Amino acid sequence: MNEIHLREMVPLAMYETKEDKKALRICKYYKSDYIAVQLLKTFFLTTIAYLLVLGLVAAGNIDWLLDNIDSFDPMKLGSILLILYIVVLAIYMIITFVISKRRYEAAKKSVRAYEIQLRRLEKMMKRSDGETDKQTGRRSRR
Amino acid sequence: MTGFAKLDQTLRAYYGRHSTFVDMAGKFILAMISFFWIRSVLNYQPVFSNPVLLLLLALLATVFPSTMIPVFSCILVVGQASAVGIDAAVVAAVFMLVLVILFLRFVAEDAVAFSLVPVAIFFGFSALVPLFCGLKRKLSSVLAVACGTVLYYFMAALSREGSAIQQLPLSSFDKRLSLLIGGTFTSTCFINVIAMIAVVVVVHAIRALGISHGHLVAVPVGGIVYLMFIVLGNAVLGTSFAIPTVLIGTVASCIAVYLLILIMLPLDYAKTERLEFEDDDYYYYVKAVPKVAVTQRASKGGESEEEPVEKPDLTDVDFEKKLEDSLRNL
Repeated sequence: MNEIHLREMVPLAMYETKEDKKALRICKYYKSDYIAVQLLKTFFLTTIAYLLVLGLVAAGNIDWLLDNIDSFDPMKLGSILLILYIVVLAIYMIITFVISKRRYEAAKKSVRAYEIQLRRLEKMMKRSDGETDKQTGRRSRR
Repeated sequence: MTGFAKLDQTLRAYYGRHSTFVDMAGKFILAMISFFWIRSVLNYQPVFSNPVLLLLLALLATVFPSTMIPVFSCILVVGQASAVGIDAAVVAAVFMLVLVILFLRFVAEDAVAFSLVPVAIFFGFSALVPLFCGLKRKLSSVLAVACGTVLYYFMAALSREGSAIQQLPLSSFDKRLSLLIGGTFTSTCFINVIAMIAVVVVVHAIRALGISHGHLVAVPVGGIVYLMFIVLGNAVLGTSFAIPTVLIGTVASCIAVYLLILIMLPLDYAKTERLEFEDDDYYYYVKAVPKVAVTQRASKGGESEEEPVEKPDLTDVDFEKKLEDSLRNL
């Protein structure tokens, strides 16, 4: 057992154990795909939250709504609600875009360091395998 | 400071070896505080007030990630609200869902703050959690703190208006809803949320300046900012905060935060890591126990002082360049 290799492998294993749920999983996606998935999630969740809040506000003012329903212009009311929905959605999409872009870039930087360390370990192991082959006289297949 | 440094070293060494049990005990204590406090404030539903159920939930929370503590807290609040009325339970459920969907999903790592803020406000330590989050967490923790504040006022409204809501018939659910929602979103709630956000932002900004002993400056400044907003709220919006009580609570919060930072802070302690991996020849089962590094320097008086080594800030280090250099040297 090669202690030098072990010293290199332990931090890599530690990184995989800690970061596996975060950076490594994020970097399995392309940047555009990761951001698109987050934006899609935000779209559905924000729509659900908007409908819930709207339902709650309507339920809380149901008497007033029923009393004044004749004086409402449905087109005007619909446009106001739609514009409000678009504004809220736009705000959350922008926030999600910024946060997911930053998360991806941070994950990519972290994983890049891990990948370079991994390549270094691979080279070390190939080199030590080559030295072992020389000693044993075994030919390596190229 | 030597005594505190030695105590800090002892705690770090102990935590490094027994981190699993310490983390589980910490989660259990936090869960118990949170769940039994909900029971003391909202004692409507006997099922959800049963101590055995709360103990079981706390044990479950110990095993699961700490994000389950606020989830169980929300379930308990909705369960208690169901005794007031089905509409109150629906409002509570919708309220929690909206908070989670719109705010808390961006700060899942600070979900415990969401559970602890209402408890701290109830016991008069309103500034405790925002001071701590400003010092030790990211700026995004402001969302968890704000949501926790709103949750406190929702629970206060449910507790205060619960009997009045139960007396109203179910058919007048708009009046019942108005009592609950109107009782939550008051000027007091608004001022407290703004004050909490301001504390987190200011404390975080002072910490980000990177001045030495910045936390010693940030904590009292954060306390003063909180008091300022409370006094402004009383003057401008006519809120009725009891200033002497708030003053005492803020001072106590500052002292508690100092104690947490100086003595009892395992959050940035290194843990024992247990790893399993393999190569072509061996399976490896590795237990990595962190070392506690102490630097010594001689003081002018001739006695050596111990100073804990701070973790270097690695955010601006170009790992790629460093490792490529090492590959070339290989």
